[in-house]
Amino acid sequence: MKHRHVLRMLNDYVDGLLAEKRKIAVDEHLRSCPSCREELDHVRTVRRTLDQLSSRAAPPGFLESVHRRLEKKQVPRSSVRKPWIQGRVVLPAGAAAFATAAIAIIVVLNVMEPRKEAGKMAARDMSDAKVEKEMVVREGSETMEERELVARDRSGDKVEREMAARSHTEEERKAAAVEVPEPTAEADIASDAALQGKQKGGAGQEKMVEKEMAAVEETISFAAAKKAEPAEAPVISILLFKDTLEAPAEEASEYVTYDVEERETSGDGVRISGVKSRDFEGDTREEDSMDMKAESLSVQAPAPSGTPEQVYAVVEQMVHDSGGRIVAKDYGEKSTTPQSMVVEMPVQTVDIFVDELMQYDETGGSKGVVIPEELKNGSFRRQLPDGVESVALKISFE
Amino acid sequence: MNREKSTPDLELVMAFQEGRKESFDELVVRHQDRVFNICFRMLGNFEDANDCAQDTFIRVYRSLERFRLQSSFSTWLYRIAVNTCKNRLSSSAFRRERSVLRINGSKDSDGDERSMEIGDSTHTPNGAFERREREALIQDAIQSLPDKQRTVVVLRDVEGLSYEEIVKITGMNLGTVKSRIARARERLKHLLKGKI
Repeated sequence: MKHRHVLRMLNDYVDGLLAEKRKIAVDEHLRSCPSCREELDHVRTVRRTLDQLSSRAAPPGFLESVHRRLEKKQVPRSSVRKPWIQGRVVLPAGAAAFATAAIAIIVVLNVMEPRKEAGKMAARDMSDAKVEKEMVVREGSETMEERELVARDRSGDKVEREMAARSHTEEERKAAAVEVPEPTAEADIASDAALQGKQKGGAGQEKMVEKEMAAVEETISFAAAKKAEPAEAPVISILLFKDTLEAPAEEASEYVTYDVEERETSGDGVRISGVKSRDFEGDTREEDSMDMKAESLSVQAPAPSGTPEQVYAVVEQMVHDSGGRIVAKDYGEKSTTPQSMVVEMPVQTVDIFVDELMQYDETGGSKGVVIPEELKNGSFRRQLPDGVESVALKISFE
Repeated sequence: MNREKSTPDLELVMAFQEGRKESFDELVVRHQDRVFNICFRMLGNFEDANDCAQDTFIRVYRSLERFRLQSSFSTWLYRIAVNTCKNRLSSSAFRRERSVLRINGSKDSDGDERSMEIGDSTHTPNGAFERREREALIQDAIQSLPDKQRTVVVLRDVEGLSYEEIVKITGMNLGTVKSRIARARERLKHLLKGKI
């Protein structure tokens, strides 16, 4: 066996990981190679040194401290949410249209926060309706655009959808905020296809909206047929949006709290946050490309098992439990459950969400969860500007 | 409330999931020292370690309801602990503090923790004092490793976990774990040369 091969194997040798045949070969080499013996001594010394470090015990009163902090944390959900709903948010601009939808919905939530009664009425109206579609397209100034899309709420075989795509002036927007009741988190739905119409102006927008509505009709008829079909549990993939979102200054300043410096340097727009999104698999920043490849592939974890409906329900519950809020759902063309959704989540609870999803990696039975390494190890925080309170994730079910 | 030490973790988890929330306390008591030690070796100071160890159990409490019983509780727990430490290591406040400490030199690199140890040692035999000094040197060396290498070497060589467990905890593949451990040991060899 060659000297350099043995050198590479010394750690495995010390850790007892070598197969018997290789171990014998290494033993033979060691007998005749003083430098490898010396290296082996070094490895053993380091290992022994670390092994002999004394164990640090948790300080007295540790359990009580955990209890105290748990009690502190048990505050009503609304008080937990308030700071980040009203704080700065990182929104996706990788899919620019999606980002716009997300901020539009946040706009509605923020403005309508005090109007609980209106929100309740909206929820009641939506649950009473059979199949309801409403489309409003308004034209406004070139600089001020807002789109609100409030769509599906499913109950049994009923599918309800209300969609309003608006483009209007500041005054119109304010008026609209009063007109539009607070949507429930579950009722906030945006379709990628419809939203892309925003980029194409009035006629194109209408066309896209019509197309979307046709897809909804198809979905409605498909829903009943689909119900009884057994389906394989989906792969869940999570994408952390990190693009910069530029929004007109007046619009953004109305709804999003951000740093004073940023407001002053906004020019035509306000930078809300971010860095470029990138293909995680293409990332080679790290020193070791092999390591990076492994990391960029993320978790190879089986997803919660069950039908797509069950899996979706589990993930949705996790999102809510982590203080997250679903701001957009995309049902695709033929699906009774969302194929993807955009979630806004407080920075500090993203890890809880990821940890929860990761616990499924030993359950087996279904396809998987794909979590970007940056989310898994929390390193995404490094790339967030100071003061960012929440991030947007796109969760896909494939 | 107190259960036999032999009660498997998963039984305590099940009890928690069935509504006996006091089972959580037993899980904390059972694992707090190891979790604290992992946090301490990862972060290098008492305050952060204590904070992160507590954070770990708070997360566990919040997630335990949905913990699937097919996996090992301790592996899951250590994974949360490691992730919590990684988050702390990557937090801007922690990095700022660490860079200040590095500029100030090794004397302060252990901060209050070091001075606390020296204070404690006034009533201990010289041997214990020397041992503590030696441990502080080793901890400094661990601390100077890149975060990714430190994670695996702490799990392997300090905590004595198997490669299989480390793969599950970190989510890395075996090859990555091995290469990081090898590089970490190589670096430690140079850092500790002539000091231990």
